[in-house]
Amino acid sequence: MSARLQHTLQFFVVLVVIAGAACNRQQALSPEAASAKGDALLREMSKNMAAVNTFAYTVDERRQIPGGSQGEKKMTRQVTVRRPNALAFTGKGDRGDTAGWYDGKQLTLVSHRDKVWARGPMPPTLDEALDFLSNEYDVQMPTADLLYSSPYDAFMTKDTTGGWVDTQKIGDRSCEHLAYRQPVVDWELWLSTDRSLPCQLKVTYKQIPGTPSTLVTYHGIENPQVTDDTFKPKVPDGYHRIKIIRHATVIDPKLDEPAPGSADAPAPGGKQIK
Amino acid sequence: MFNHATRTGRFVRRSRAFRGVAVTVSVLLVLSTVELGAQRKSGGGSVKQSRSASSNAGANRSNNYNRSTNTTPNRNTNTNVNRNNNNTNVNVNNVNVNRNTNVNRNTNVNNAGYYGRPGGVVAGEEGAVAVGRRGAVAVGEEGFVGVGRYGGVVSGEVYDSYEGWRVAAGVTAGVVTGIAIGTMLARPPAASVTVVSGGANYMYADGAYYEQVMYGGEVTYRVVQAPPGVIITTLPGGCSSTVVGGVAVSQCGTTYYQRVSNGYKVVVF
Repeated sequence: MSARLQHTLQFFVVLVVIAGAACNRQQALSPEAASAKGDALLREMSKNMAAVNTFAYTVDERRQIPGGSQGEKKMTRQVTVRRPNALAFTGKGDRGDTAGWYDGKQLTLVSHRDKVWARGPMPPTLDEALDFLSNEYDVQMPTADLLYSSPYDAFMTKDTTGGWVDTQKIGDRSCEHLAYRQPVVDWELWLSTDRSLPCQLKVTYKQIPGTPSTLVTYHGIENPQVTDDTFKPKVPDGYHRIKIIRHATVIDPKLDEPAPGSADAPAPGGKQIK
Repeated sequence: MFNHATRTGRFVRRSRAFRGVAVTVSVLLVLSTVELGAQRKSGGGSVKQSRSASSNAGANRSNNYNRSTNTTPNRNTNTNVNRNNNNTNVNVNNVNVNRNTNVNRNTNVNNAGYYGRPGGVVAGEEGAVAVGRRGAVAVGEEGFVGVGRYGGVVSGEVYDSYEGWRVAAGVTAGVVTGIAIGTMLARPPAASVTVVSGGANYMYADGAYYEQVMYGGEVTYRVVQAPPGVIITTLPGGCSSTVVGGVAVSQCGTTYYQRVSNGYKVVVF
């Protein structure tokens, strides 16, 4: 091959590469526009998720703990939800096989590895139950935000900043990539371009030493046929019941009362009139 | 839209279990200082859960010590725990003289209506009561109540391992010598063996007994009082010989062992 031809080919290759890069480069948005686009996508996803009463999904969870003794933990979790008050899940992973059921009254958890099960009381609605799971039983579900009646409100706070980043491929799906920052966590959410449903979620826990993160990849969200039996606990024979540990959360019913002596305080001996 | 304040009060139970806890509290000494921290904090929650956990965690993380000057064990039916900056002590059923100055000085307040994730515990006659910012509220039927042999209340956090607890609790520095009742480990000590009492299995290692419990959706090992009737082959270190009720026993911390043909049996007086 002559030197001239070689140079011509090299130039052609470079040209193709540059042209390809130009085609792939996505339109950059201003921070305001990116924020608005992200917000609109989040609201659409929230609306879509809230619109379905019964759904099921399978996710792969990877918890990465940089420098920690536990390294990375993997789990595949199948979750079935029926609003307003039922949830069932199974998990397979590094910490053994688990299963759980919430039926609007109780939470039942099973560890197949240890052949034990436990049960505790739960609030009557899924929204309350998701809070309760975390706050009382310390059961952490990275996908919980998407199960609330308003996922948007679960994700967003006044101090959340961020927005749409770009469009990426998650597996064979085209997904819109959103990234947000909050004081406690950074989180990224990938929503399918066609349906605005979750493709992937990443949460980075900034206040925990080593800033661990959880990456959750969704394998589709379905509308399965379920019955009451789907949410009935199924504890194999021979399993031993153990106690479930619950935090001593406190509710002070008088928390909203005005402080004594304040302008809003009722007059001594009399009732406050509003 | 989402109220973090759950209706814990609905689950108030006055159970026999709590009565047992009350008795436990009355028997236990609060002898030294134990810091509660450095536990299984590997994240894993959702965005909202993480926010909530963060705002709730302060009460348990800051200055969570029990400083007791109580030198009269077994005489109190009550133990003061968690005196928050906006709180008053709740003394339920005081009998005899309570010389505890056992105080948790938590200064973080959760605006969501919670007082700290793992609230403190005060033992009443028939139940354990967690103390709120301005009042007493009870924990649930199977709620977690732990009172340390050596260090007051231990509330619902988990160490990855026994070795992890030793470092965090200052065992190596000589601050603490024994693992407190209520402490939880993600896995039992490597040297633990299974012992049986009343048909229930426990793990035993180095003078401490562990029961399996479900915490955080995972099986965890919690330090409990020595189960009566359990037999161990070798006494832990630091025991002394004494006579109680005319019976010669070995006293190891708050646990009494009686010599039997195949070892040492836990006895309760």
